[in-house]
Amino acid sequence: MRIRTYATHSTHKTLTSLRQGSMIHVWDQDFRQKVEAPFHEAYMTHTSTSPNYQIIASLDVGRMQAEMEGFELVHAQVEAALSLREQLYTHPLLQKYFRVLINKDMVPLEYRQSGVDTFYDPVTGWNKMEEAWANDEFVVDPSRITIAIGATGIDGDTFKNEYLMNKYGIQINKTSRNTVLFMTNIGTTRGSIAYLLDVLIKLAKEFEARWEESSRPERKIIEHRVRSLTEELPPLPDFSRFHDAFRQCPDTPQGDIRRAYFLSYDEENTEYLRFDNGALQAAMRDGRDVVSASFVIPYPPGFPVLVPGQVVSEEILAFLQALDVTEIHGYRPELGLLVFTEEALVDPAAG
Amino acid sequence: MQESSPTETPYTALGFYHKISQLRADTWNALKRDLGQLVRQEAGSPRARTLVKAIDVKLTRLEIIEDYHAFPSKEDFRHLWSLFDREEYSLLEKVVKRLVRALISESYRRRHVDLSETDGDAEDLETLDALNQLRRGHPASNSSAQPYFELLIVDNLSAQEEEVVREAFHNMRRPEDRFVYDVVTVRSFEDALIAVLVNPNIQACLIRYEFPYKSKYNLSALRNYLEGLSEQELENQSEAERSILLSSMIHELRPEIDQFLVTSGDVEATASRDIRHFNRIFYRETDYIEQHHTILRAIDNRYRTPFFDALREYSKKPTGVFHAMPISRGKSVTRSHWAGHMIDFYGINIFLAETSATSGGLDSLLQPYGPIKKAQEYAARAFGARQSFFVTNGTSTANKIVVQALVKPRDIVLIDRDCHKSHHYGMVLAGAHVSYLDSYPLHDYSMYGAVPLHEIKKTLLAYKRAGELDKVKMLLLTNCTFDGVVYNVRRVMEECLAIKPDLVFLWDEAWFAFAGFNPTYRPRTAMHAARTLCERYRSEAYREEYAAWKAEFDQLDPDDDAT
Ligand SMILES: Cc1ncc(COP(=O)(O)O)c(C=O)c1O
Repeated sequence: MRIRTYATHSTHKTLTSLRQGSMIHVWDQDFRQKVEAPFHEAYMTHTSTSPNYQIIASLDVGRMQAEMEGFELVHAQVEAALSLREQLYTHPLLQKYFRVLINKDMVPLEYRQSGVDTFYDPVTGWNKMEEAWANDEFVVDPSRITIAIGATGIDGDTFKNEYLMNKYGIQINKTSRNTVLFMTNIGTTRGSIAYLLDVLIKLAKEFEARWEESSRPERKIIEHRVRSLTEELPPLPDFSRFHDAFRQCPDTPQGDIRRAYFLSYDEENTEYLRFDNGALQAAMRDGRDVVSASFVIPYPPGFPVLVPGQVVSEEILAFLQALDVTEIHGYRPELGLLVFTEEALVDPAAG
Repeated sequence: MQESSPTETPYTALGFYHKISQLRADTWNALKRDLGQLVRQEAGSPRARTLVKAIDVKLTRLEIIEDYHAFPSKEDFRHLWSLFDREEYSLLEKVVKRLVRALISESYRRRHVDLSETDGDAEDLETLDALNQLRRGHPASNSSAQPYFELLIVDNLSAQEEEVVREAFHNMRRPEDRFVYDVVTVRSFEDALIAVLVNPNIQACLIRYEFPYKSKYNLSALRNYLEGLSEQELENQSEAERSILLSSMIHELRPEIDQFLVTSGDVEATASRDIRHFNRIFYRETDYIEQHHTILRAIDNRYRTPFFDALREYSKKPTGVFHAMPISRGKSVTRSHWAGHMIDFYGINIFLAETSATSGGLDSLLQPYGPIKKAQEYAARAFGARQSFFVTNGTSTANKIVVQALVKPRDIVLIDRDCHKSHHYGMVLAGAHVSYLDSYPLHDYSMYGAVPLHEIKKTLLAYKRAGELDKVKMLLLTNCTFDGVVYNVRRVMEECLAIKPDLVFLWDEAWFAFAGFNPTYRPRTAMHAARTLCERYRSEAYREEYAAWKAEFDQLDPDDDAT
């Protein structure tokens, strides 16, 4: 038995470092014998010969800070996040529009051996956290606060841009169709938590007023939006499969993504098929395996719905049709999906 | 597979102490408010009596918290109580006000705050500090001043002895020291653990023999953490064993703390035990000079920033620039008619530190031999790795480096499909044969969780059945997803290794670098889990070897003296 473990950190995301400052950490008992030389080559492959000294210096300082006061800073971060959560859990008006996702919302019961639903108890405080963290297959990091906003009738992306950013200058990165993510970090202060709460209360009051001042038809529209955001969510599709042309073994699922990727470089191997006019569906009905020739990544949620060489499934199609986001990398609405021609899949050359 | 047992993953007492610093600040403020009201009440009135009771409760609670902090000291607290007992409330209010000001402005980090004297000058200084802090919007931590920390002493000292020791360390202070520190004393095993949890100022710990196990406080909240340790057993342990156990528990909570052992006991007996968490062992209790310098040196070893220091040194040297990079030393902008606002905005230092040189005290990231090498070694220490490497182009690049270093074309990689896009491109570049794993979906919120262990094992077993397991090279997962779902890293590795003992793991912890600095989060980081497993297998292998040897030994004729 050899322990061979690698971890990559965006130091800049959660500790002190300039943007892009990152680290690779290694615990590999075979590193010296087997990896050091290829690692060095790989490092040279991807690293500029003019690396930025300021980034390196900031990584050095960030490490020192973490060793001197990382405990204190992370502790304060968690403290701030927990107190924000507590107030969000208990404020009556906020609860009406903003529901904080707790452990059980994000981790199904089968993965919670401890049975802990939430780390927080109004009487005993946060005493359940250790138990869950020590035992469960998955836990939620409480310093990241996902709030379901479906009840506002506003989708995540619009909420992020038009409400939080434009109105109140609050910046967040991640949204889903009906959630927004508030991340705390080691720079988060009690003051910034208070400001966020203040803004959320203002927004909740706004939504309250909007409802009160709405006419019957306007209310219908709001109700319709809320329903669409809370009940009519397109199910997330599983990975379908690689097309046989890119597979090595019928019993195991792996595919040669590189071969598929480079096969698309020759224009004659690919064509566009639209699904909004039914052309793609018709091809599938005729029994054709429609195979993606590119990555298709909608934002949000930001994961590839299709990768090169992957067969388009009914579920994926349904998901793509139901998406109401504007940003889909690898997809051009006026042309359709980039797929391989049937001829290209007969005997694709090795990539 | 066995479930984790409490001794392996000790509970930490976050639930209890997670809000201690807010509790501390809030209680002091409330005390100040109560006192402010009390001095305006008529003595003996019902309202006054209620306030006195409330003040008593708050002082009692604060005394427990402050027992684990150097400021206010135990002597300060005795002073507060004596004012309270003598009903000198207006003086008490004044002293508490000063104390709160000193805590908020953190002036105690820079100078001695003597609460017993009502010195106008000292008060002025604290007021000034408080004002400065208001102006700057954050605690006054002056970067050029001597950084401050606290030394924890674990020893069963009387109040008098404690003052003597504290004085002795104070007397060691010299203006030229790089750091200044104060002393916190605790008298028991339990108290030592609480102190390192609730007092982040503690950076060094001096463990001396002869301390009992139990705290004088009833710390039910600590029970979680101590689960698995039998009190009886601890009481029966020798003092040396107890000190060593304490040091390993402190290490588990706060591995960065520098620990020292003071013993007057049997040198050899101590040295032969598991003392790896001690930075050094002192044999003479009262050798303060030696202890003082050793402590300062240990702190300096963490505080040093080899590359940042080298870069600052470099930027001070006058150099003629005859290589590329006109912006170096600001040359292309200082005399520009148009681009001068870049200097106005950034200041000159960043340009003085910009260079393409790798000499002059600097180093090469691609072939480090000097300060970058050192800086990376320190990073490995901080993050619990065997080796660490800096990457100046994000984790996107870090991921591709690791994959390319380990994966050959046609090697099979198991990878979660909703991982960051750098991995998908990394797979393309490496020519890996990709086996995508599905995370459990959260349809109601249009997001994914993470990949269940049974899904991973099912896939591995499918490869085993197909006779393809030898082609599987790596398992690649996102530990701590964007949304905050965290794996049980150790369990995943343990159970996968049972199927495939040479599997390589790459954990994308882009969002989890901070987790290494909190005792609840740390066990779920890749580096901590790897170390834990490594130690476990090593001791198991040792146990098996020993058992085999013992079995053989036992078979020998017990009557034969030659064995
Ligand atoms: C899981 C994960 N890995 C890697 C990255 C890339 O990190 P960086 O921006 O440091 O390149 C991200 C960034 O969002 C991420 O979420």
